[in-house]
Amino acid sequence: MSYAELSCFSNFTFLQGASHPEELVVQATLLGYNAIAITDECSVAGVVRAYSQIRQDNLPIKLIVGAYFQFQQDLKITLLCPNRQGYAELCRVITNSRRRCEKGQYELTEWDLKSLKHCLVLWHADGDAELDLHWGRFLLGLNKSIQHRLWLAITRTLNDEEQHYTQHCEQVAVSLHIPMVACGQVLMHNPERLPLQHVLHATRLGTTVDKLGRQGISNAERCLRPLKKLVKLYKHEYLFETLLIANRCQFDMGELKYEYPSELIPKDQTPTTYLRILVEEGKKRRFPHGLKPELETLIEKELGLIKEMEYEHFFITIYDIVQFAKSQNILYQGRGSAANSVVCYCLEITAVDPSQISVLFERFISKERNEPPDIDVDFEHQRREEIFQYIYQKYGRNHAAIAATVVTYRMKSAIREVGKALGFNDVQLEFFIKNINRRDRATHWIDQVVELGLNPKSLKARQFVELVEQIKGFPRHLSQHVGGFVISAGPLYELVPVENAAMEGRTVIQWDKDDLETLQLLKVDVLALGMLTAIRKSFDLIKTYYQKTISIADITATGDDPNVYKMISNADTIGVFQIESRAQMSMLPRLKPHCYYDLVIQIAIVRPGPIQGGMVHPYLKRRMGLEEVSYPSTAVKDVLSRTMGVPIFQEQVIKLAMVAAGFSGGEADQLRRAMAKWKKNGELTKFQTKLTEGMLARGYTLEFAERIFKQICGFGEYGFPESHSASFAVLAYVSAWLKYYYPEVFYCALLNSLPMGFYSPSQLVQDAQRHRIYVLPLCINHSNWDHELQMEAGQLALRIGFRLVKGLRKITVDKIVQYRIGCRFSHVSQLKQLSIARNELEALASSNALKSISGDRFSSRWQMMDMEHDLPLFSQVSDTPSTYQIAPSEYEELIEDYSALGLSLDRHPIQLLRQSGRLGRFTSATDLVNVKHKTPVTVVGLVTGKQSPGTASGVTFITLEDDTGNTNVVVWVATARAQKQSYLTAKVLKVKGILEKEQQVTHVIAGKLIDLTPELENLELKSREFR
Amino acid sequence: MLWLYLDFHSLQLDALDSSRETLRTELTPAPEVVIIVDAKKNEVVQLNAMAKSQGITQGMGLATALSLHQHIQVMEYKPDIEFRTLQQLAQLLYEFTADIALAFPHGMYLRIDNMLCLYKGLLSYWQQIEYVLKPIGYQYDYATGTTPAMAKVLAQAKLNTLLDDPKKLKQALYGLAIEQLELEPKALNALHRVGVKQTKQLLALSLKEMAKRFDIHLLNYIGKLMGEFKHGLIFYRPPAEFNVDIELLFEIENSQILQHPIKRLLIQLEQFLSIRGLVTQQLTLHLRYRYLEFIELSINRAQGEYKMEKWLSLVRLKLESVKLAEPVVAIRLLARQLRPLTADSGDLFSQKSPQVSVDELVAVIQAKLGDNKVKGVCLIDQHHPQLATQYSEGLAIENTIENTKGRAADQKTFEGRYKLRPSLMTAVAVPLKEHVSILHGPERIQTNWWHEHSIQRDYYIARSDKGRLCWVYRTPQKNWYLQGYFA
Repeated sequence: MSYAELSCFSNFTFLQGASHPEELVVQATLLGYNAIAITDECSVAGVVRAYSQIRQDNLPIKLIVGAYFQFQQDLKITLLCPNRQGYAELCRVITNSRRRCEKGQYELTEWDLKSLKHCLVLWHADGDAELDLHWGRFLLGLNKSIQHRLWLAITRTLNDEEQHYTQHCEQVAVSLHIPMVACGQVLMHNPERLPLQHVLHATRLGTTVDKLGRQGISNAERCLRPLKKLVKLYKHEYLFETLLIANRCQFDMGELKYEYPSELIPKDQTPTTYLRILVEEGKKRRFPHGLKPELETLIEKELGLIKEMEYEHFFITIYDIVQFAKSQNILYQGRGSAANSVVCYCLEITAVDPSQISVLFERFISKERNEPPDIDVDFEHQRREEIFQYIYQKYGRNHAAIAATVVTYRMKSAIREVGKALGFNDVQLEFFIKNINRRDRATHWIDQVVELGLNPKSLKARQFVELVEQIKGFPRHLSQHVGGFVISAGPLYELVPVENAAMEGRTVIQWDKDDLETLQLLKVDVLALGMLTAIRKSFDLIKTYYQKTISIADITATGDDPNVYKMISNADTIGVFQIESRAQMSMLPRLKPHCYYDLVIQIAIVRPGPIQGGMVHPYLKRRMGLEEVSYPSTAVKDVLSRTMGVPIFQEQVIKLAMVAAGFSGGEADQLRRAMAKWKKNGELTKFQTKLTEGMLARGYTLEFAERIFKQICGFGEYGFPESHSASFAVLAYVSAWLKYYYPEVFYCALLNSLPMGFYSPSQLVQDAQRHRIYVLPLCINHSNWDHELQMEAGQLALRIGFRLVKGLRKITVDKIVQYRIGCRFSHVSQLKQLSIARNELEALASSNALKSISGDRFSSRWQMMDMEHDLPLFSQVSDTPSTYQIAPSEYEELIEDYSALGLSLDRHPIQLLRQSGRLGRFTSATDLVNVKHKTPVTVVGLVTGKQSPGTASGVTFITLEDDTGNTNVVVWVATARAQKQSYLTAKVLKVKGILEKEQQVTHVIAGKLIDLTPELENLELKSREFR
Repeated sequence: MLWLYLDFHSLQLDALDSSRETLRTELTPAPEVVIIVDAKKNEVVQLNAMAKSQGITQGMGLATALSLHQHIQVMEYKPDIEFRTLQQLAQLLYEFTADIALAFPHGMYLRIDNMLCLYKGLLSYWQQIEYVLKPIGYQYDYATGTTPAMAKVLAQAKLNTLLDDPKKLKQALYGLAIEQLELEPKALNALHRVGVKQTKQLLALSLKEMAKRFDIHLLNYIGKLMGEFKHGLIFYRPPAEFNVDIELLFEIENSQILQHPIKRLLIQLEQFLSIRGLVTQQLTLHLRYRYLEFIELSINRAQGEYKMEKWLSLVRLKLESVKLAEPVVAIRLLARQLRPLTADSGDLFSQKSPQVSVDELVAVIQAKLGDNKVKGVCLIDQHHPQLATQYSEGLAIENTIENTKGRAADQKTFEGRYKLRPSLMTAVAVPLKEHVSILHGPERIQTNWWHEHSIQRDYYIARSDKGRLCWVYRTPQKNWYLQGYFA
């Protein structure tokens, strides 16, 4: 005797279900169920995970798709999908119900129910005679076919009313001629989840588990129960009916096929022929001088595979999108594994010339993988919305939507919610959470439970820990993915339900990208990249001021410019894409890149992973000729020679597996994926034997094979795709080139593209000034909203724009600029006539933009504050000269600059402090170059950066900024601990330490930390009378 | 005018310490680092000396404080506790100063110009105050001012000097930074942005120009500070109480006779209460013997009463059980917890209420048997059957199914329905000895996992051989217990 469970809530019924969909299907299989239906409330978000689990483990159980609904708060039903049409109906109903309401809610209407022609309906009766008769009749009256698709579902949870309830239901069923069926309304996969279910319920109601009272479930019966028990609980007919229903449900998620919008293909072409045409056209453009035979072969291979896997539409759709971007002059670049494809290069989706890097198509598409390719395209971040709108417009709201992201419980939120539900005090919990961050990751947080006032061995502590560990990874809610679009031919809501996102005008499907991958549905990632905006703005400025038209392709075509690489090797890379961080800058003088490929390696290698994994030092040594490079075979040499024999890229590992161990392309890709996840499940060990045997068979030593395998294991953490690095290296080179040849253009474009990158406007402007760019202050008569280039004293200077002024809106600036066309500002009253809000006038005054027309900023602001002038009668009054007595000191000017603009063009705070004589002797940042290695030195600066990379040694890197530049200070754990106060709270720091210099890379190893913040405050007090 | 302000800046911490002083002498732990954190702002607001020595400062964030020292005792800031302590302090000082106003949460204004003639000068007045406050050991800052607002800001600036010369006070005020005044953040920011950082600069600005630029709150505050506007303080009044003592003309040995003089006291009480529109819930009688010993009797009435007859009947009942060791020479009647009288909603159309209300009955029984012998029964919102019914004080109905928000009307839902429960439940379940046949069930209850009372039981209604309807349950270990009987 078997059974099919027709009603289960997974944890995707947020804060109700207490088990993952995967757990439910595994448990149901263990119990010998025939089939299981995942029926979350108005959602199919969990279904794909259940499907994936069944496929992965080959579980002998059928998955039924369905969902639970409440209609007008009284009627409770579960809908099940027997076939594809039923599934489409269900998705439609979910979509309609959710789209009517705001995010997180749904409302079912009668029409929705009437429109159901295929779905099977389980009715969970209430128990009240009158109500049930009413609803029963209502259901039967919905439409003609419902009679054969309706059941009265009964659930036994061993409560006190059951006997009565069962009898009542049977009566209703008989009088209305509706068959009965048993179902569990399961909330958890096994009874041990009862505490967690209570915690979730308490969280949902905002209370604690002991105050849940009778609202909480009274026992653990709503779990998947063994067949023996079910037989005792339900009549045989009711159990048998579950099997009959399950039998009628033949819909399999694998039936969902992706249908691409066909309007892109011209009428006389097929997708295959059209794609070939596009590729041919692209070939001519990209390779005007013809291409090598290897590349020709590669293209044919790619096109063949694309045809076999039927992916033509995918490429054509993306081609269409990037063509739109091109037509609108929006910069874009494809990245990720797509850069491995020559077809993508021909279609102008990617910008990496495949002759420059070693492409590995299997990384992109492989038969064994049987997965759709993954193409991410970056667009200018400020204009990405235009791409979104294009997609929505072209395909329609019903055919395009964004993928979801599942926001799950992490450590902190888990502790907080479970703690609250168990009744811990709020302040106590916050204290605990903050404390955890401070600990070494070595000690388990469980031992720190004592901070909550709990005995670690007590029941409460154990329960707390257990519940936190269980709830970690549970979904909390669905959110919008960054840019993953799903586009379909038919209405999207027949494929997957669409609901409202939090953002207005945005709709989101109920599946995330992993679900889409499982079902082989194609997704296009439309991402945003700040540097693309900056580059395009640079090109526009160059056109305006130098009358030259330049493109990215033009720059890369000129080859490796030694001037640019010299600048890069000197670590003069503030503002340059990917190589501007402190870590990067400290590596550049050592690695000394002098060609494109060096940059590709630089970007991949300077990350905590490879540094820790010991990849960097061998590479450095070999590059400098300090270590010998040898290869066990030519095949291996082909793969590793370009990185000096050190495997750095994921593609190299895959290639090694192929050439050295005989893996096929697809198998090697599986190895790569196992590498990425190897910590989670020791899948890698499966490959060890194959790898070792393969290598031995090809004549490599066991020692070599084991070494490679070990490297592969460590690789999983940090292996970087070469194609990804190559795409980024293009932009890194272009931005460096722009910085070298057109610096004022570069800084101007960067500043206008913020927020992006590593540095603040203040730091960028200081770098510009150090590069001898003349920076002009904000001026009411000369500045515009954006930063601009203006001729001043025969030189192109950078004029600060109004966009930096906090509290000033663009519309206001438009008014100012408009007025200026007529005449310049010479009186403050002219501004007041423009009906600008008083707070904006005050902001303008404080920013010192009015310097040329009105006294100092304090008196200007005082004038602006006058409310009398708001009255229309007074607006014509010419302003009387200001009688305001308080004028700003130099220090106060500085403070106001920072408050109003975030930067100052005048003196640096450190300069002021030096002037005041309070700093003692110290070496400025630029002078450090003259100090010898291992000499004691004193440095001073504003603390502008503090980074603890999280390595075991616990070192912190502090960046100190003075008026000449930045200094890197290394603070070891012991130093930090001994001088905690200064380390933690100082805004201005004086460091006495030892200088360390390796080639040109300079650090100060901190010895004594002195907090100089009081000195800064003293500058202010100086002018005050002190009592 | 002259005002004094006392700022008890660490009142919650100090009040804590003094109660823990006693504990600490018994144990010998290392001195603790204690901080009090404002939960909303997540900042340290009060800290003890040990905390200061670790570099923790006021206004520091919790995370930063924790990084400076790992083992900190963190407590939540509760201004209500401070205010209660403040009121007690006010009561103490009320003896020495007539005009006291409280500043939530831990400050006090005292008007001293009219007290100075009584005390013959500022210094001796201050000595008196210090004399009272010193033994209590709370920390405070103090200052004087010509206006309450001035005294307050100077005290909060830790002036800690007594000045009565208005010129000197003004100088002290001028020296403050404007952050030390009680300005709203918006006004403070606006002033900073035009370079006004000191009070001297602020007060030098023309009021006319200020009026055009700032809102009325700032101008009012300046007015209050300088004395141009009245402050509008609410003065402290000690709580009302009735405390009357009578000496008896002759000794009384018979406790029953005591009711006659007590009756006179009760008449006075009735007058005292009815004039003020108050009732009392508790009477305390001190029956004093010759040599100053006395016995204390307490009589309660949950609902509060002022009428003499009602109290007298209860007193009589109480006296029945009193044994006098010696003759009584004096009687004191105390009534402290006084509450306003709430009128009974006398509905003309409601049914006639019984002669003796339930409440009176309870009071009588309590008087006779003792307060703790009378309890009510209520239903608690719980699955656990034994915990679901509990005793309550008097007729207090808390947390019952009826009273719980929103569920009162929900009789139809599963939670709202009353469950099938026996009318007689044993306090502790006994193992089932006799043979029974099951009629109804099982009802599985699995709950209270979060503490020791966790249960997992299957309940059944069964009929014993003798024909009684029992409520029994079975544990997972297959043991059977009897929980109660149905009527």
